[in-house]
Amino acid sequence: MTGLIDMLVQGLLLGGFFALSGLGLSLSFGIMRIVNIAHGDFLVVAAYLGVVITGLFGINPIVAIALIMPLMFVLGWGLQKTILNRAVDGGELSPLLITFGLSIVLHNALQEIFSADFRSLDAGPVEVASLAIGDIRIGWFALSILIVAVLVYALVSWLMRKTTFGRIVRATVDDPEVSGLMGVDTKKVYCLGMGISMAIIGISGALYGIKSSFSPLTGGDQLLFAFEAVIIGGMGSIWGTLLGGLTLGIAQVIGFSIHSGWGAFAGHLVFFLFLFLKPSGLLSKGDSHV
Amino acid sequence: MLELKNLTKAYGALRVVDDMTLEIAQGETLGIIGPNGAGKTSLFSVIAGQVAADSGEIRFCGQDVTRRPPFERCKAGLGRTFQVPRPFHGMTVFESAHVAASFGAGLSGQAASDFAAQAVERTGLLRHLNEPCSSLTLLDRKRMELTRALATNPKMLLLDEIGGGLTDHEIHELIDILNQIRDSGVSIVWIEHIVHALTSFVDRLIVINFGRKIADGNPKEVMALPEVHEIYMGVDIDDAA
Repeated sequence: MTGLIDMLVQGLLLGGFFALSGLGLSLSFGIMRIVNIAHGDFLVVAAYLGVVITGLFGINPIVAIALIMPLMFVLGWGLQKTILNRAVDGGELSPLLITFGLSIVLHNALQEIFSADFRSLDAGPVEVASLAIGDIRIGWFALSILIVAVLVYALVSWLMRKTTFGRIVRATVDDPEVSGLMGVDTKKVYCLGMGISMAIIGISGALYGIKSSFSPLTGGDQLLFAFEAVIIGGMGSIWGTLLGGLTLGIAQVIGFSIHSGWGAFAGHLVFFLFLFLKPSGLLSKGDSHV
Repeated sequence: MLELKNLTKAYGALRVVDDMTLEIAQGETLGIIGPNGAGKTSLFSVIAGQVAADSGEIRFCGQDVTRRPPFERCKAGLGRTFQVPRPFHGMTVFESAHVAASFGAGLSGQAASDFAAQAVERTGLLRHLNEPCSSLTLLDRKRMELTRALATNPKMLLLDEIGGGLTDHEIHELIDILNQIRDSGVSIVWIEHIVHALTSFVDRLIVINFGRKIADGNPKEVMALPEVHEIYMGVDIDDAA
């Protein structure tokens, strides 16, 4: 019994990261209808930003997040304004191809600048500190990620539900043409949306760099996990992605407990089960979508 | 207030707006009629900026807006409604009006909320204020189109068959609302198939066929023109015989 509870707890802790990273992907799809194939690579970019910032200022990578997030926001805004906005009117395929191209460019650029060596961000003792409840050990760092994830979800949800900005975003998602006729500069809304998406990728990427080692080519797996979280949760649903991430985390931990190489495999298996049995995901588009 | 000079828009060989020159004064009410496919709605789309003109010029309040995006034209004071209502499905009546008031009218905070609520009240939707737009009836959806356009604080309203599908009684209610809007100084351009409703309201009537303006003037005189009769109503049996 304790073993089972332990697995669930560890699964939720791992899932917190997938949920946080998935939110960035979920937002760019939910708001701009952009499937960001370069999602994982931007996560890696954020981790390398951590390498540069901690190297320059000698600060803890957790503190560096305060710089990484605004930098990624600006990067997202600029990317949307200069490249993606030209493509959003042409259906969903053009932005998808553009982000695919960006992914290749990022692989090569990162290898050129940072070499193909694996790196990781050192956040100090907090990475290994844990608390024990009975026989279950909970890592402080993993717990912090889960708490941060839930807080970020609550913040984004509040932003979408209760603020004027959220209303404009929902109107733009509903009907960009009519929104334009209501005086909404939809291209600017898209810039803001991509900025927020990238800021969330920024915090996820920094945490990813602390919890795992990374290289210019490790973004692919991260895209896959984030994508699975979004699909399991239901595309376009914010809270669904949180549930999807947590589900994926639990699946991976259970797989890992069966065999040390089966973690990711069990996650993919659950993902495929959802594709077959409930392709609309846990929370299909209802009241909770962006 | 609105000036169109030799405005043209074509899709391949099909000219949906053909060399259109038109002036509409402040406070004027103009009706547009024409057969299906004559290019009435296309004309609105070009004026509102959803569709770019191939050639010609659009001036609004003295400014050349021919190449401006729709949201800037809206802020300048152009509001339009759609023939088939396009409500924001996931939003309430108030939220929809609030988006228009925040951006089209450029208001914020309490002023935006008040203006949005006022627009909702003017069109008689106050009892549905916090209901989702998707639950509205056809008449109320048409009102919602008008509400949203009003909440952008327009100087000119482009109404696309806002009376279509409504009963006589409902159209009278609508015209009462439009009279109040006109009296507040807003110019109204109205495309409508229900000719008697239209001619009872507008100061001036134009007829469009194949993208071209074929008649322009006093509604009664325009309706009496033989070519209008022929194109719009079909050939009169007595005349043909």
